[in-house]
Amino acid sequence: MSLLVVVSLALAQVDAGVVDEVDGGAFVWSPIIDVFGEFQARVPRDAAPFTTFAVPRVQAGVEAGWKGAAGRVLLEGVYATQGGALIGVAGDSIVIRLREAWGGYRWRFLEAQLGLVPTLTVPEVERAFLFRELSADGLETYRIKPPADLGATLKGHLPAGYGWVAASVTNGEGYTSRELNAGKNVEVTAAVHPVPRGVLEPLTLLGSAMVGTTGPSSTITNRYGGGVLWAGSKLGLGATAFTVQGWMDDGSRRALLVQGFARGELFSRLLLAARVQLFQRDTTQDDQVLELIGAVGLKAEPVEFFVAVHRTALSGLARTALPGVDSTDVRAVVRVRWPGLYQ
Amino acid sequence: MFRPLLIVTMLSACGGASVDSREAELSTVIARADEVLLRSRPSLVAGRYQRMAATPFDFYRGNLAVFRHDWELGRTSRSGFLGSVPPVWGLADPHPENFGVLIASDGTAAIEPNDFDSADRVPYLFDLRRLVAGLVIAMRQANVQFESRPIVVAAVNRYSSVLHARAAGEPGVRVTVNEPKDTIGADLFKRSRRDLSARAELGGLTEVVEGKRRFKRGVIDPDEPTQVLSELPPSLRGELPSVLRRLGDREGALLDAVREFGSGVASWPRVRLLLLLDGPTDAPGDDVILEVKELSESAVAGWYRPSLPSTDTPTRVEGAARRAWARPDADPRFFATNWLGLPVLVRTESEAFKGIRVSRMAGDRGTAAAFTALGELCGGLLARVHSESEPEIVKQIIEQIDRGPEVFADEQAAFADDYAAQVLVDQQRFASALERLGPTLGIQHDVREQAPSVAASLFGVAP
Repeated sequence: MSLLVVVSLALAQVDAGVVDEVDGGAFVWSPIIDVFGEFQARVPRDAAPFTTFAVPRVQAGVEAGWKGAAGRVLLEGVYATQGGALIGVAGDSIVIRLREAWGGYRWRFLEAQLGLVPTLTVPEVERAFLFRELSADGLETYRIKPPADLGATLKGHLPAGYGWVAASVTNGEGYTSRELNAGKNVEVTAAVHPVPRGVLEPLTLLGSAMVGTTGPSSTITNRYGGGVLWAGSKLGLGATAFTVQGWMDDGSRRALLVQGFARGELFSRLLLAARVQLFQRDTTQDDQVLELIGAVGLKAEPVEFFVAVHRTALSGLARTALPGVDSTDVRAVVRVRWPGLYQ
Repeated sequence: MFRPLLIVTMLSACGGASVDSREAELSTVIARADEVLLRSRPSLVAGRYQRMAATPFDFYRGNLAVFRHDWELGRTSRSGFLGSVPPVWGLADPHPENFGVLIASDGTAAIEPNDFDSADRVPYLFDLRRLVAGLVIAMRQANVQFESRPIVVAAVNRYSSVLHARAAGEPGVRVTVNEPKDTIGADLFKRSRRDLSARAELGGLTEVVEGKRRFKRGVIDPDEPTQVLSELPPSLRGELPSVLRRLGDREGALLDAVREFGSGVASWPRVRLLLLLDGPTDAPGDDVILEVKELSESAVAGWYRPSLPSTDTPTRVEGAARRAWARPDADPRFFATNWLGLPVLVRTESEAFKGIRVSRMAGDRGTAAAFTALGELCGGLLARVHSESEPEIVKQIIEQIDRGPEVFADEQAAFADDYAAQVLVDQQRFASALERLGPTLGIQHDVREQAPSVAASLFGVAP
């Protein structure tokens, strides 16, 4: 009954929606640029300290909207040439690949995307944390959920700004790999704003369930979880937890990711951020990775600059299983971004 | 009401049948590690998988990605002796068949590590465990009836004693003669001497036509029907002089070149060429054969990123060999370079360069004494390789071992026994996965993705 009420309300609304809010029906387009550069001093527990310059992310793209239609092509630069993937390119070169490439349409409260699409959960959590340059979300870092995949999403915007409910069907191997089995990953995610007006507007309740498989033998990769997020422009807070069924190609493995974060902006310039993340790699054994990040930064749009301390500590089996990971990093990070139309 | 749930179930389960979870894991890990090759040269990878499914040791030779995977999941890395020891300059894949005789520039023979494809910075115990598990798998395959523990303990103790000696300032020992009970080493040296004087590789791989030596074509050994020498496209042949540039005037002119298929296990799908060079005289009896083999990134790459051990693959591989050998010219024609954008290794192809082979571990080479001597030989050589790391790292390894040498040896013996048993079952599971998923583990080749013509002619197709 409650579902019928929600659907009726949704059908009754004439929601302007993201695209219409942006373009008002006219043709619009925007470039997307997102570049990270950093200097890192790393002190590993089991290796000699070293310093390095790195470019963890280079993304550039374009997106456009016209009437209800929208599309985005986003390229990223990554390190990779292995196994003869690129004849004539020797060494550890930076090459360009597609990160997103989708076309979509919005009708009333419904929004559909098809192609190499952003997935549902990771971008929503990152929208609250905002400072991806400090670290990707644990869901992505630990290969629990990819940030983009080949597939289709259908999002239903709830009336009166109550949020959205969406479903996606994707290959399940992420945007960095091709489909390896006939099964598809199916994800249902809801991001609900229980108080869509007033000071509590940024409050978001996130819930997600994904069933799927990976690899040629269709190894199980089910993920369930969610959290409470506060995605304000000056303040971001979050606490999330995800259970993992099947990880690292081991379908019998059960794992758990728990994280909490806070970020704030003071005096229009000063940025503060902290995040704690615990990944229990195997819920039946003593096997954990703990990550702590603390950062202070400055903002002068479109530039963000941070000095960050990033501690990764291992315990139990992870101590010997992950060479080179247990470390303390001190980093100077710069990010330049033009976020585009539909972030 | 249940229709949406039904659709979800159908989509996610589509194509998925219930299989043994370890079998599913093996097929996924191996297919993922080989995905680029499976897309670009599927028939060659299929040949490799067929070889891996044949025997436990061949499976072990091709399963380094699985060994790393098991390490990262804590299955093979559980130990009380790793501490916070920094990574050593290791071999990453020091199983017994990756050791053998090399002939140095002065004509002397020595047993050395002979495969550096995955050499990289690794935890010292990763290397040691890869070795001792390989020893026990070799024993299982040779079907010997004695306990594995004393053999592993002997290997570990030799590893420890050589490390201690090197840390005390003693020079690294070049193994130029076998120890008295080392029948496997004795066999290597004996056959090496025999084939060196006979130049057996010239007789086996080449023929003299109108006074000029050239490679044979087709199947060379009827007992190895998958090992084939085939014609090289003229366009590629024209590019060959560039790969030999580093040899300068030391070798003669290029007489002939062929593509070699069906050699090795892990490197089976990789590009492999044989080059015939004119010898110092006009007589065809002193010609020289070189092997050019495509290299890839180390199977353990990425553990210590962004602290890459080398700027590129050729530097990594050549650097590893020079550090590992007792003398840098253990193979005087060995070097690594880039050719047509591919990292490649150039080395001497000689029947005198005899590698250890499990298939020869029979008779007096299949006794407890023979395996013990083999363990000591390989353990000592691995310690010599590790001792080329920074002195502080060597000291820390010794400190870890000295906390309880007997317990340390027992721990490795127990590990080796367990992992060998696992590999024997894994090989059966892998064969079953091939039967279930097909010769390329279910990765379908799409003709629209065929490699560009230059690359396709370089990769070749399994005969």
